Amino acid sequence: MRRADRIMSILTLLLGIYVLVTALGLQYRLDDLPGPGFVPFWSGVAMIALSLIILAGTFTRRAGGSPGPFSRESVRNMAASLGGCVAMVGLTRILGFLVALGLLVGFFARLWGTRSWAATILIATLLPVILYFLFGMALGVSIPKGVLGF
Amino acid sequence: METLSNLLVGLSVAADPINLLYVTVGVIAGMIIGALPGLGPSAGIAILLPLTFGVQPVAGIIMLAGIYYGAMYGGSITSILINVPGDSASVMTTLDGYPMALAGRGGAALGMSAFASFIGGTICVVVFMYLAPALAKVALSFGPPEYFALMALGLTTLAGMTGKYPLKGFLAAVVGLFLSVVGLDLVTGLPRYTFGWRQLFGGVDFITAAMGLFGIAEILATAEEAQTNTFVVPKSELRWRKLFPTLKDWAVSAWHILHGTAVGFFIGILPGAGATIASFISYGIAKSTSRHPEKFGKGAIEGVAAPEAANNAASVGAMVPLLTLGVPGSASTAVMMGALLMFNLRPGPLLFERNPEFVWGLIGSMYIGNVMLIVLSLVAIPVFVRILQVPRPLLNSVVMAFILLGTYSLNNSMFDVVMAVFFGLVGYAMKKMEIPAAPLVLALVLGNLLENSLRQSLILSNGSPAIFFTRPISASLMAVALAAVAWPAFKGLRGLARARATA
Repeated sequence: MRRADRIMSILTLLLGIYVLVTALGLQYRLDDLPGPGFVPFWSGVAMIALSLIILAGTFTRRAGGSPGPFSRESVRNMAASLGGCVAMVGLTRILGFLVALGLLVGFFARLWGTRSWAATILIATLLPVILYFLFGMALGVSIPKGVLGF
Repeated sequence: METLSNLLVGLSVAADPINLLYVTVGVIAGMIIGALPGLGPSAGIAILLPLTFGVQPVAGIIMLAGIYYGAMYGGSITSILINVPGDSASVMTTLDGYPMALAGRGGAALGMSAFASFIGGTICVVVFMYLAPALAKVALSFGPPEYFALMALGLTTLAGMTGKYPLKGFLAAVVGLFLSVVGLDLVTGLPRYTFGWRQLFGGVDFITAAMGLFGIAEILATAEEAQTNTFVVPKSELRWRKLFPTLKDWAVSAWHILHGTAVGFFIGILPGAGATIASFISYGIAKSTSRHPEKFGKGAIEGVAAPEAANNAASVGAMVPLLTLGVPGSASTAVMMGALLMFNLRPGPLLFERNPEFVWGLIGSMYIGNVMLIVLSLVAIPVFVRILQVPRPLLNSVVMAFILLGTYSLNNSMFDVVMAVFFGLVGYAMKKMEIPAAPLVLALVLGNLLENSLRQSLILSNGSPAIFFTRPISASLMAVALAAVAWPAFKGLRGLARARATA
């Protein structure tokens, strides 16, 4: 956890510095009142201060040696989930939202441990149909169509 | 008298068939979502929000309120039957609920949990009905400094009290505050942190953020934990007759339901605290005031009754600051505020004057919703249990698809889907790092209001920040807000000093 906290606090520290520096480019005060840069400036300051305190804490003895929160498997799982979502967004332009979503549902079902192909195929085909009736028909949402016409 | 006639109007609005349908759908959907481990009321409201599109605001909010208390109860089903709390507010229910199930009294625990939730919820709606309009009248005298101080109080207490590490809570709140400034500045029209993306000119949509942080993140986290399905519930536990607690059960639980209700309502009103803390405190009180404290943790029915009454009471209590002051005090009510704004309704004291049919319709629906909750919980528990027996990977995939299409339908925008996935990954990392997401969402919801009330306050005072400390109400609120920051800092320093002394 100590290493993960250290990396996280460095990332938020960098974000804080970025927010602070860019806030200086916005107006801090406008007609003697807080301008558009006021809240970002103080958000940046607070982010830097809190990140530094958390970072400093990782160097003390109290930080402890609890195991890191990200196992290799969890990183792989997250990367695969992200990849699936990116592919779905890309495929929406070609296949339409519902078909792409069906494929993603099938992918997630397998990724997260469904062993039965029959169950996977059933959920991947049936769910988009149900969602079409719920969102497309009942709620009147205009769902992007693909080359297949739905 | 005026209250009663308003209630009658409210009940007639709530009893409208379409509103009845919405509250029923809300309670059922909330119970199912609430029963899924990891997904609590805030995730339930965010995920199911798209179902309210295109309906009248009153029907929409009635459904969301139904989801809220349905999810609050749903969490206890898995707590009792399989020792897996649906959300943090039902953790205490596992302590005695699961041992009861092991001893063959799972049905009575489920029944008591439903009755305690019903009693707690109903008593609080009565109190709410009298308290809220009075508080709204007081709040009418609030100016921008009071609102600024109130929002600062809400943010600091939530950030300091949620999660194990207050520093991480404050960091999440500050990041949320930063995200709230993304978009066009309301005064100058200048784009801030939009990176030239037109889609960000309107700001970061907090419903999208909530769907990612509460919905997708939870699914990703539970997906890697629950590879197998472990729901094995003996059918005999779910026979209708077994769901009714005995007279002896009632005798030992009645007092604990009442104090759980009082504690829950009071804590629910306070910003930041909420249902989880209410259930912890009421369990503690129940144990310390019981004649048989040694039975707690081994299947004492009052150990189920007290926290269940408290968490439902807290969910009603949390509606008080949202509706009367327009300042949500918890993650769930923050998402509800987002929904109200989406319906073009600005929660706050004026809501009671300008939209009485809306407010009283909601109050009326709370009565009906609580009755619905008890009927459904007694009739449909076997059905919910069967739904939970669907393998988790399939359930997770279905909920994920619902979230993605729901996000798209907010603005018919793929950009929102991308944003929800982004927030999902951020939320997943935050969860792993034990950084609470609730302060981030609350800051995102309140950020713009906070900035506006700051500007308005300083216009009133010709630029002097002393205005926050010279008006009695804002000064008191600011003092508590500062204490909420100072207390964790003091505790941290004291801990450090002790560690040094023992080293």
